[in-house]
Amino acid sequence: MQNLLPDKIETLDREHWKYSNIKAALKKLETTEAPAVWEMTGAFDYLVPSGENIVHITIPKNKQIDQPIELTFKGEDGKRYMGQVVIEVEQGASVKFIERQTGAGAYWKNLDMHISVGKNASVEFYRLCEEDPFCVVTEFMTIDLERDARFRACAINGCSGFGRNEFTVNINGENAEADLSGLALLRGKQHGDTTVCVNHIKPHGRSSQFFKTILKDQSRGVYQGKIHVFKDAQKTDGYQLSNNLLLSQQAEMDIKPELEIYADDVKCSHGSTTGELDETPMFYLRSRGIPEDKARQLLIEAFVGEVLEKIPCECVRTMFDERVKLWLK
Amino acid sequence: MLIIKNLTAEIDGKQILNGLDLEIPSGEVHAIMGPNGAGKSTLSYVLSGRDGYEVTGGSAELDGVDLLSLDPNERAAAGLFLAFQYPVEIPGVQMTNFLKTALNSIRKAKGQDEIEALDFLKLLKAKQKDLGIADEMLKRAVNVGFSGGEKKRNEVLQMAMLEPKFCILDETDSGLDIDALKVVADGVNRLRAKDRSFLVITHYQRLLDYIVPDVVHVLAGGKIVKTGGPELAKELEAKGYAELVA
Ligand SMILES: Nc1ncnc2c1ncn2[C@@H]1O[C@H](COP(=O)(O)OP(=O)(O)O)[C@@H](O)[C@H]1O
Ligand SMILES: [Mg+2]
Repeated sequence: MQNLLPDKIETLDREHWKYSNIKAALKKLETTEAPAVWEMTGAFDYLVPSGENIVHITIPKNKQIDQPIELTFKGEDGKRYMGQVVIEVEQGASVKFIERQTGAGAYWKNLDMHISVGKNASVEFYRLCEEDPFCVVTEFMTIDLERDARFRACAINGCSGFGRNEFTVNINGENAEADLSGLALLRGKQHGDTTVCVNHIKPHGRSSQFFKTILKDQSRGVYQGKIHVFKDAQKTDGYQLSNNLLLSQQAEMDIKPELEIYADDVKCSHGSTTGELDETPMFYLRSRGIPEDKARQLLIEAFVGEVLEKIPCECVRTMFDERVKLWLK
Repeated sequence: MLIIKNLTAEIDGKQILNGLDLEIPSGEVHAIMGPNGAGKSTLSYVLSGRDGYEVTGGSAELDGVDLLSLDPNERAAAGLFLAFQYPVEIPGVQMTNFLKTALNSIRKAKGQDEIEALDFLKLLKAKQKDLGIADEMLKRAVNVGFSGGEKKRNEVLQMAMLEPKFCILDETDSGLDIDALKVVADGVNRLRAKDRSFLVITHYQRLLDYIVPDVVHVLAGGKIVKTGGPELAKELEAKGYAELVA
């Protein structure tokens, strides 16, 4: 699925958008198109000149960059943005990105991001979305992995009015690895959709999807996760898990796991849970004198902690942890 | 002193406790023995206030405090402690943080200040040494990846840290080999004190060789059907429940 253009919305695949009514969400907005402007830190050396609305970054061969490159995009009321980011990470390079999405008002951000990870290169990609509760954000990320490439992503969505984040990962070379995780924090009438498709095209690939949602009030969450193993992709190891916590009776979560496997020697698994906080650990904590509020807080922090602890970069983990705690308050 | 009078309770509309009377003076250790399904765990959950266990009559007081009207955490603050038959695994909640939160919650409920970080660590070190609990275990999440013996030792560690007035041990011996049983029993015996009492629930007499009770009760059909000294446990072991309960 590529960039969602306003004039293409009528033609969207119904099945693919079954749980997320983008048309209705956009109908509520009055927007005029504006240029997509990113604030960047640490990226200047690697920028490739390109057109309006496009950011193009190339990390040269074998370059190791420790300090995360930050890309920030602020939305403004009444605007519509059609942004594009193209990142090429050449052979043997290693880099980390932090994408921050913020904004105030009713706007629509439609972003298309493409990352190609060269042979034996490594990319960590962290996304933090703290958008306005009235905006619409549609973000499509395509990741192409060559042989021995490694890609790791963690997305914290704390969330837009209507949000759809898509990841499409193509394992185009042998022995490549993709590790995707995320946490959606939904409240009010927010709608948060995470849709993932991992295409294992070449053998010996590994992929993992680990996504969680916390839903308050009347929010609605969606997780669609697909593992597609092509005929040649023998010895693929694909994993998928979705855990969702309902903190309100009116909240709703839709989950659609999908395995499509054409190779015969593979290991793939998926699982999901959706429910309220368990009574048993709650009672155990309270029986030790811990009041109900505090016990809930401990259990919810533990729930999100499982996602955060997958972030290897400590400075990002600390920042995300703070943002999540703020949201939980 | 714990006083239970004519306690009746049900689960899902099914009556499990049928007018249970029990008095445990401070400083004493009482054992409750009984066949599977007698209502032993139900009694411990009713006393500690678990959801779904509905009290339909009677009373339970600890040193004059009406336990049944309190929330589970308030009961803990009032001095009640339940060592679970099946300690609960809580992924993502780290042991030390858990112990500190529990201790400070109870202190706060009693109107005391939070414990100093250093004092807490000193206290924990001392208690954990007694029970042979490694530092590494306290870095893990609560009961996650603990062996059966480690889980039960962990229950006794919590008991030692929180210093309750009345402790219920629900089948603390189940799943323990003899060495693990001794460590746990020693831990409990160290906590015996004039102002603390114990209710030791067990299916087998074996545990009572190591934690020697002052009084033994037999629970069957949701009430106490017989009370005696430690010799009653031996008699039960020899004859089985069937004869006594009949
Ligand atoms: N959650 C529950 N729902 C329905 N019945 C229960 C539940 N827990 C226990 N019981 C029933 O209550 C009775 C007493 O159980 P329990 O207190 O666990 O016995 P004990 O600990 O003495 O073996 C049994 O008949 C058991 O089947
Ligand atoms: Mg039991």
